[in-house]
Amino acid sequence: MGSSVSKAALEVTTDELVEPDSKHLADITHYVNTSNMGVKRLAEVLFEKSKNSSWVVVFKALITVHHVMVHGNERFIRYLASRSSLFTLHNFLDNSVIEGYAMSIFIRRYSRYLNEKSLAYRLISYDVTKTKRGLDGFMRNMNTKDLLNTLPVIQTQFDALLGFNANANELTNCIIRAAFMLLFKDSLRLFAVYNEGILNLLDKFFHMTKRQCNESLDIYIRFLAGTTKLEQILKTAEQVGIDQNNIPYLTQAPNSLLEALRQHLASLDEKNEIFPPYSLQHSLIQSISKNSLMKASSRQNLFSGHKPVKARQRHGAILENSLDDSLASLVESTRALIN
Amino acid sequence: MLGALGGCEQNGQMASRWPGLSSSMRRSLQDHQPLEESDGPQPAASHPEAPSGGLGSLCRQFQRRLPLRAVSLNLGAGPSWKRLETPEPEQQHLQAAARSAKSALGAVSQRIQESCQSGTKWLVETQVKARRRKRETPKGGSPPARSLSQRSARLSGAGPARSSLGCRSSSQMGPRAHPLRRSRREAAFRSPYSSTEPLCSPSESDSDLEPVGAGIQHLRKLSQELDEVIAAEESTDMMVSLLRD
Repeated sequence: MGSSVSKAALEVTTDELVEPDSKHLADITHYVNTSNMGVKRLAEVLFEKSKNSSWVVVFKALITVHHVMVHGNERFIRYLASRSSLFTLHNFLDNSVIEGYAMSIFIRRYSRYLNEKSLAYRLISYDVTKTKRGLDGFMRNMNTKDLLNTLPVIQTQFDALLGFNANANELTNCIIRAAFMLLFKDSLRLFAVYNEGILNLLDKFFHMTKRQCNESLDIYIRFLAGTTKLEQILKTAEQVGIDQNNIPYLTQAPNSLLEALRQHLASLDEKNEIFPPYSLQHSLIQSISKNSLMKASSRQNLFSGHKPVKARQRHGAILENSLDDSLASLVESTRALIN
Repeated sequence: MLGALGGCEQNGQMASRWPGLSSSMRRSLQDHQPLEESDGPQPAASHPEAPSGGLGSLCRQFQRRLPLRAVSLNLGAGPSWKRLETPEPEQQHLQAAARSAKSALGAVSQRIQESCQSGTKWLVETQVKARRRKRETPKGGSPPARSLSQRSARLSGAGPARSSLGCRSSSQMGPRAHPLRRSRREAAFRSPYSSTEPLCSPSESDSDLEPVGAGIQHLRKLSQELDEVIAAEESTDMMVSLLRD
């Protein structure tokens, strides 16, 4: 079986300027789904091919990896995530042919996305593009803490996908078009999960602490920027001939939502200034109980009517000094806790 | 009897009658004591009896009947006396206002401490309510957004009334307004705790809810559309693979 996988992998990564054969890709997917051995052998062959000097071979190797990640069993991406090193194509350049220079740019971007996809799996232990969606979906029912940890990972992967940034007139050959098709499918699934995470985030926003609101607002702003760039990919998909039924109609969320979130965060800032958080309250209350004012008032009967005026004045001075000291200590402790 | 006694005839004759008379006179004096006391002191001549016992008793009577001297009351205008007096109306109002403000601040600070301590409990309750709301909604519908917009409409209706109340308190109430009511109202509006919502709760003002509801509704529609497209694409891929096989 290992040899079959190797053979299929070699046949799908030839230097012919044709897209990877769908039959070979199906065979490879089948091998990965049925055997663990096929995973390791396949990965080794494909990584070896990615070190080729020809942009065609390299691009085909990357497309094969991506295809198996999307259509194959999760054990393949799990194996890639467990590797210490992935594709190191950030300096790849094939200037032996005319289109080599342009394609090298897209190879660098494509390899970066595949690395981020593997890294995301390593960070959150699952492929978000294959999770359940909907009201009872995975992202819709996540708690705040996990949401704030997961959404940035999704954002990074999505930003790497958007970084491919190919216009319709740059998709000049079938190999880059095959890569674009896989990226387009991934973008829809990734954005769908991303969107559900944002929905969950907005549901929880007004129940969050100030720090969480701050993080959530940053996440939402990045989401808006990502939505705008995704529109470009969808436009490109339409231009290269992808069926309209397979392209969602994307519109931006109203700006007033962002303003409402900002205002809520601003109101939390104001409330924090007027009334400190509970931990600060507690420390202030403790500092009040410990200061000399309480000791002075307990020892001296300041409200006795029998004391002569002079004695009362003396006690008043003591009280005044205690008040000054306690106020100073309160201010200092407040500053310390805020800082 | 007195007349009989007043006549001084012969000493010898009188003397023989005197012991008997003196005893009877004593008796009559004793009997008439209350009368004599009320009538005032009788002249000494009316009591021809010179013996010391009768005079002594008379003197004692006079001493007893001396009028009482005026007693100076040592009552100073101390603070304890002043408290018993009714305070002036202005002071009464100030005292009442101070008492009400003090009780309000105490209650509010207690409430704030309780709310911060039970913040987690409140969050859990709201999440439970949100999930209940979600479960109650039918599939494909968006009642939470509608309820959110209804709530925002209700709040927007309530909002201006609150602000108009604030305007009324500051501008429409003239200088002759009841000072107690004015001080209480001003204290309430100045206080950061004038809202009945706990501090840990979301500050969902009426101006925030509408755009949030609209934004969430928008994203929900987008989510539905993406799901439909992905489902269509997967079915197409499945058909292609089946055909290939």
